[in-house]
Amino acid sequence: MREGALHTEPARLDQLFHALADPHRRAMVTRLAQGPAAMSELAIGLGLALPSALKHLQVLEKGGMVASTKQGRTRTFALDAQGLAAMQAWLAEHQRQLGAGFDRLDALMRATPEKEAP
Amino acid sequence: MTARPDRHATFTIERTLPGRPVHAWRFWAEPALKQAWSGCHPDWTMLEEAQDFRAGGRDFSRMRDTQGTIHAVDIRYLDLLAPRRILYAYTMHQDGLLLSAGLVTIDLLPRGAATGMVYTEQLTVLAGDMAARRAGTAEGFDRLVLAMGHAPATLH
Repeated sequence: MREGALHTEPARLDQLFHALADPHRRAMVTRLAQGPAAMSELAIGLGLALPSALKHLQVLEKGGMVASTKQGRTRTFALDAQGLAAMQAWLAEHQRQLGAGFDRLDALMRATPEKEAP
Repeated sequence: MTARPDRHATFTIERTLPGRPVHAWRFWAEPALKQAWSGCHPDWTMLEEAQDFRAGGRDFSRMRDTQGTIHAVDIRYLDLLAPRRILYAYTMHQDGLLLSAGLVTIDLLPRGAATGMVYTEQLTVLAGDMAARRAGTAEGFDRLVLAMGHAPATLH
């Protein structure tokens, strides 16, 4: 169960949300969802200088969203191959939906008169 | 044996609900009340539905979304201890593909005039083949980004 806790502990989710809080990083994730890409391709696509692109990619990598491999002088990024990123996104969405349901439950309980105790 | 972190997860959601546990209990036990908060897709078409809130009973729904995808949720209540604890197992299918299976324990604890709810879910996520998983990932991120209230940025 330790592995599961890894993905859902608040610090982990904070990292995930931080990683996705920036429009450049969201654009990178959107691009990588189509398949792996070289850092230079990601930088050019976003009109970023290489060091700036690298900084964003490092935040995504730290958040467990992407993994990188280096071949020669080319560093290639991909959505995490182990499916951790997929799992995190799936879990975040699942928990968001549950939370929205409990918000509706809360409102409905307030709006419904409580029966008198027997 | 090594657990697969991309498959298994356990998480807990805690809430303070307005009203005592007997009040909260009705919102699982009475089908109309349950439907009013748990059914979250008004634009989906209900194809099949059954609600049987008792130990061994089945709570089943099959819906078609606006894209034509069929979503099925199948709950089996394992143990009910009114008004304190609800224990069930459930599966989620999408177009006949098993997406996830879970074990859910909901504790309803008296807290003055309110209820402390502790929702604990132990999940196995089977996102299908890699293609389905990749598509799901992209869709998941899109929804996540939407949920965060930002328009997705685009590549030039």
